[in-house]
Amino acid sequence: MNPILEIQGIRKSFSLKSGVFGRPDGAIHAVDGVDLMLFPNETLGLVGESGCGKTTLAKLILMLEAPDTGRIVFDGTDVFQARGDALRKIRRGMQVIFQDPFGSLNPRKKVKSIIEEPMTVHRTGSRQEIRDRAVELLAMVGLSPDMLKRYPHEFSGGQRQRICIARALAINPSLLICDEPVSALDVSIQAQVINLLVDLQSRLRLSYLFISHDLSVVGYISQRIAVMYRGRIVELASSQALFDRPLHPYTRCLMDAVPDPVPRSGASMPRPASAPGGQILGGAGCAYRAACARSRDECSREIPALRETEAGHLVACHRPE
Amino acid sequence: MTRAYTPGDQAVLEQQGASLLEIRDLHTHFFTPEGLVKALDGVDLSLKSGSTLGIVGESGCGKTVLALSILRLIPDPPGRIVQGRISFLGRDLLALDEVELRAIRGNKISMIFQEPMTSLNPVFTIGSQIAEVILLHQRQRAGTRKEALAASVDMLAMVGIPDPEKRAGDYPHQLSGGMCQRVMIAMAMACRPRLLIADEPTTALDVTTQAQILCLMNDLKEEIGTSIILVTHDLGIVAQVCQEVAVMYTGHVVEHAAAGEIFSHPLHPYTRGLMRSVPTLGARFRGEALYAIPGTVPTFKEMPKGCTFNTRCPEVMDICRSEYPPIFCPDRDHTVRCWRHRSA
Repeated sequence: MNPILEIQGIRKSFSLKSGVFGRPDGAIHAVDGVDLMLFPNETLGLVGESGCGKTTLAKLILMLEAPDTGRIVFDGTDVFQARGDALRKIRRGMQVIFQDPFGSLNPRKKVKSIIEEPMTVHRTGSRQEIRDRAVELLAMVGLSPDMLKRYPHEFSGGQRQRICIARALAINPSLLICDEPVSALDVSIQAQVINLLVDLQSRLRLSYLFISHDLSVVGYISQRIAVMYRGRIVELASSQALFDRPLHPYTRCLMDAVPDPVPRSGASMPRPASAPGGQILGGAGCAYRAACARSRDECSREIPALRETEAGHLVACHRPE
Repeated sequence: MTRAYTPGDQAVLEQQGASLLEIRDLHTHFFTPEGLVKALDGVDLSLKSGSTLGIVGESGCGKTVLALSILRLIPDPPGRIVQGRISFLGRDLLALDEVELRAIRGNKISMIFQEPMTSLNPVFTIGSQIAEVILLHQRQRAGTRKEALAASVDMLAMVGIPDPEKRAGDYPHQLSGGMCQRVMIAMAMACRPRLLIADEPTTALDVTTQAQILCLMNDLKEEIGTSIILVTHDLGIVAQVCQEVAVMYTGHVVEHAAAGEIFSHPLHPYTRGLMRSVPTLGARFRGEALYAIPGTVPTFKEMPKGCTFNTRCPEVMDICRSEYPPIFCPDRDHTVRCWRHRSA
């Protein structure tokens, strides 16, 4: 099967400025050589902590940032080479849902114009067709058509996220980038939105890149999961394999840190084995070595490459578990 | 590093096992232009000394208002505690005047908030912010500013901040979110409070940082003997760190029991729904849809008659639509506000 999205060696760094005149003072490698593939009708989870480059990667895919090097191929076309009609076609093919449903809807517009706007921009049909489609979309995300006349502030967080989903689906994309779509929602509402996303995927044959810091949500919704640490993919495997047998020490650390909703007999929390914070070690070598309990000399000499240790299970570590 | 603390705490330690905090029939209302909002509508709770109580619920169910009511920090107007009793170490907090309250806030009861970055003052160094608390409440321990600053360095070391002498001179913006939360904890613990109220202390943090902060709170609890009220929406955290759990919904405590009991025998349909809504790995590929509680938390304008959960409840009965359930106690130390458990 051909991948719908192929990311090849993508890099993006931001220069750090200091002082009054903002002289460049080093650089942050937000995305540092990422290769990923996403297949049709698949959900690929992307997990990692704040600052690891998840959102920058999403922005690169959506062409909201230009990469330093690397290629992104969507549906057979290199997105950074595409111009004119080809570019418009790509932009129609991928849509995004953001974390904050309060900040991502224009408060001055009614739901009707919010949902109709992408269709008007891409001229998907006559005015009547667009109007009918908006009603259809609202029904699809579980809202009633009379809500079209209302403003965003009249809705709860979960309902707003449904509006965001309806807007994203308006122009029939094949890829939906979900950047922490349920993180701002309460548990019961979160479950409703996750079920909606799962249902829409099977009905519309969508592909999701599902970005989240919540391992249980990602584990539930994704077929495969990529773990990102300081701009690199450190482990990539099917959800089942990743949770059964995490190979990278960082993945293990992340999993141990998630509080298990089953009470323990002893009252104390499991102590985090190693903290991924700590100083940023530059230069050659594994970025995780400062926090890693398993690090050896070789870890500071060479950056470990992402390699396949078992079928479909990739890890970037010199000494996988 | 430990220092000598006030002998007053000794007397309190002797009543171990007794209730540290008793809340009876607490009503906190907000008088807004849109109408009366009953944020707390008859809350009963008690906390044993040395215990950690988790308060769980979704946004808008009154968790934070409860935390703020204990410290009498409800903004008035529009809010007011209209009825009830909060007794802390035998004293009624609602009867105290502002001066007496100030001797308790930050000293006997302290609080940490969700947003560590915005809770710290950006124009003072973290060392001087901690010293301020000590100078305010514990003159006998550290009389001069210099002594208080030294004590604040000790506190920073205690919460595991590396190189505390140097960090004490830092401003909040120079620290990460996790470090700021450690500073908040150091500040809250500076006077060795009897009760720490933590309102979503780790929600803004990464999971690994969250685990460290929860561990730290647990360690300090054992070392200092502080009881903790932990307000959270994360059932995982409750399962890991709390001995007791109170589940809140629309201003009521709908279920209260020991943590082990509530996770193994949840009685209220809302508690069960919350537990089932947490996604688990692999459930989807076994073909199970994630359970979702239908609908949303009702706003004060659309509050249903009878049990406020009746519009979302899968086990609703006739009586639920007409009368709010009183507290039933089907098991020892397990209370629930649900008509389903009336018989017991």
